[in-house]
Amino acid sequence: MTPNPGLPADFGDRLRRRPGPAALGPGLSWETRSERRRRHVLFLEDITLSFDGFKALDGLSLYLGEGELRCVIGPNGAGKTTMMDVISGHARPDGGEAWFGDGLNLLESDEVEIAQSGICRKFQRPSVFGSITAWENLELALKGPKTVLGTLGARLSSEDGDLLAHILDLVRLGGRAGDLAGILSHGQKQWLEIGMLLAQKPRILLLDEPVAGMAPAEIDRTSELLSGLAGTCSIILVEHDMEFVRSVARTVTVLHQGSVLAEGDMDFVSSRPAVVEAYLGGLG
Amino acid sequence: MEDKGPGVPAKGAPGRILDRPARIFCLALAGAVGLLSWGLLAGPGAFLHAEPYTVIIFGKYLCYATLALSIDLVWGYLGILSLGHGAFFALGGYAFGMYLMRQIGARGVYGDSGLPDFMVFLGWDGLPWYWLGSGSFVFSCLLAVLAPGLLALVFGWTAFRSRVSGVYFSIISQALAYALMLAFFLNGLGFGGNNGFTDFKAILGRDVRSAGMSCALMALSGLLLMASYLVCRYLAVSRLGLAMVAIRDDEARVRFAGYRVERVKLFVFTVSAMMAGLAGALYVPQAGIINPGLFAPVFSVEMVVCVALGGRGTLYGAVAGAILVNLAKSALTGSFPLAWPFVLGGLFVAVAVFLPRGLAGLLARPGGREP
Repeated sequence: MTPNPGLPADFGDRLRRRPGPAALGPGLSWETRSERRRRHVLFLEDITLSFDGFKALDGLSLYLGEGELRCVIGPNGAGKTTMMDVISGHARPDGGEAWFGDGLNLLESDEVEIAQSGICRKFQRPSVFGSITAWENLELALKGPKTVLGTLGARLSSEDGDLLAHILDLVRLGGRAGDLAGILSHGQKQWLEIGMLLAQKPRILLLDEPVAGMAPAEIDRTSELLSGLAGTCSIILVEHDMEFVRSVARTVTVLHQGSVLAEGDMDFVSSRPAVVEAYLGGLG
Repeated sequence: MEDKGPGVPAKGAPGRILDRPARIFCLALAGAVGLLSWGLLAGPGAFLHAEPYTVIIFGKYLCYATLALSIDLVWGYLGILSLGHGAFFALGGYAFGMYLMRQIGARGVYGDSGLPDFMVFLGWDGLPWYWLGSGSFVFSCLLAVLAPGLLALVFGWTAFRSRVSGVYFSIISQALAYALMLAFFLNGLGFGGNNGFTDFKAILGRDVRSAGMSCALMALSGLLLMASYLVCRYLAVSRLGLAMVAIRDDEARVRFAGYRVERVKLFVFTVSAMMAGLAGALYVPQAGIINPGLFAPVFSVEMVVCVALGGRGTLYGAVAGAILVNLAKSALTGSFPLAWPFVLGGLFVAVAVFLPRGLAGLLARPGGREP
């Protein structure tokens, strides 16, 4: 490969001697892409996805740090759920890059590989398995062998049993272990599904509107639960309930028309004129 | 193990496989088989004497019951409605039927010791290559399991990989059975055309019509049914069983829990087809005949009705349904042959409307596990 004639001869040296991020001021960095990839547990860059000409995602970039809890908000149709689909392998983007952890290319993996690697997703409507018990739902989700023969011979070890019992208590279903998941209330189903994600021993939790349809007391409890998880895994939370977002999030990403409109703490993003404009949608 | 709280299942695999209904089922089955054997072998005049005819009929019912069980495994637990499961039964039957034809030897109409009658009639010089090994009992038994298993593996792999499910799967499974029926009608295929195989003489050199053989075949059918039932129970209480029920509830969600849904389906479907194949192999010597009619979709649909009547997703319900429906069929086709299709159709409608969980639903506790 011949050196690029447009670059000065000592370009490589300059690159190595470049100043640290602090010298550039907040929000700017000399970081290369591979360094940025290494520093984040989830790395999405320039993701584009269109359905029949409609651009659901348009150059979306999002970087999630280890242990970070990130809220993603935005008006309807902003691409929040589609972004979740891309991360969890449910939808294939037309372009861009998506990496998880130490080098799982999310764009070349299917839902099952991604789920097994530790990206666990909760859907918008509570999707627990109604005809098995709450306990069995957790056992099914439990991280472990998921092959046919592996599950055929799987026995619940006492540590795993303790873990499941602990998770059930955590999601306040301690007394409902033997009840069919189908007869639980809406909020309990939401919690059970969060419990199932925890049983998968997640590295990233993708939560799509976890408090939708919950009573205020249940919302408070969920907020407590999520805050308690801080540090054990990274979380991406899509939510419409702004009070809830304010109570749990440190960093908020606002999506609009398939790309990032603003990112920062809640006060910062809610004061941005572009965000207000996007939410009011031309009324103002 | 210590108690972890209400509803947390105490682990211990044997206890979970043989739960109360399973114990009752196994005892009832062993009791019925034992009583009938005693009644037949004790001879006329003895207490509870059984005619050979009764024993043979009951043996056939047990084979139907095993087929119903295999349908329940895929329909009741995985939610895959196969309307062509009779094809696996028939294939197993043909595989063992080849052995039965070879056992006739020189006792056939044409007295040819090497070739079955229909091949002599067609003017063939020798056995086709796929009849090689059909003289061996062990090989034929293996073939009766492996041939349906292989068909299920290939058929299931193509169907599940393309994510064919629901009513589409039901239709193509029916088409599979129908296509096989047409193929087996061909004389050139080497399976006796529309006459199929009949006029069996012996198994392992012993007279197939003797009381001892009838009894042994019936007892073996009972044993197969019990073994199949226990295999199904084992699958159902394992973690794989949870995955199966979950796939029935919400297939897409199971993938996000990290399970390869297609492989689970393929495995269970293949196991089920092998079960059906073995049942077919035991059915043929007791029925005394096998012809392509067994591939007819209507037979498979009848078995599905049995499962629906008994209550799907319970296993014992499928067995009870198969035995009850066939008892009714024997009784009605004897006295009112024309009424049977209407009775069968009426039963299906009545079950769908009044007993969505089948007869087993009458027994289940309210609030218990949904089938």
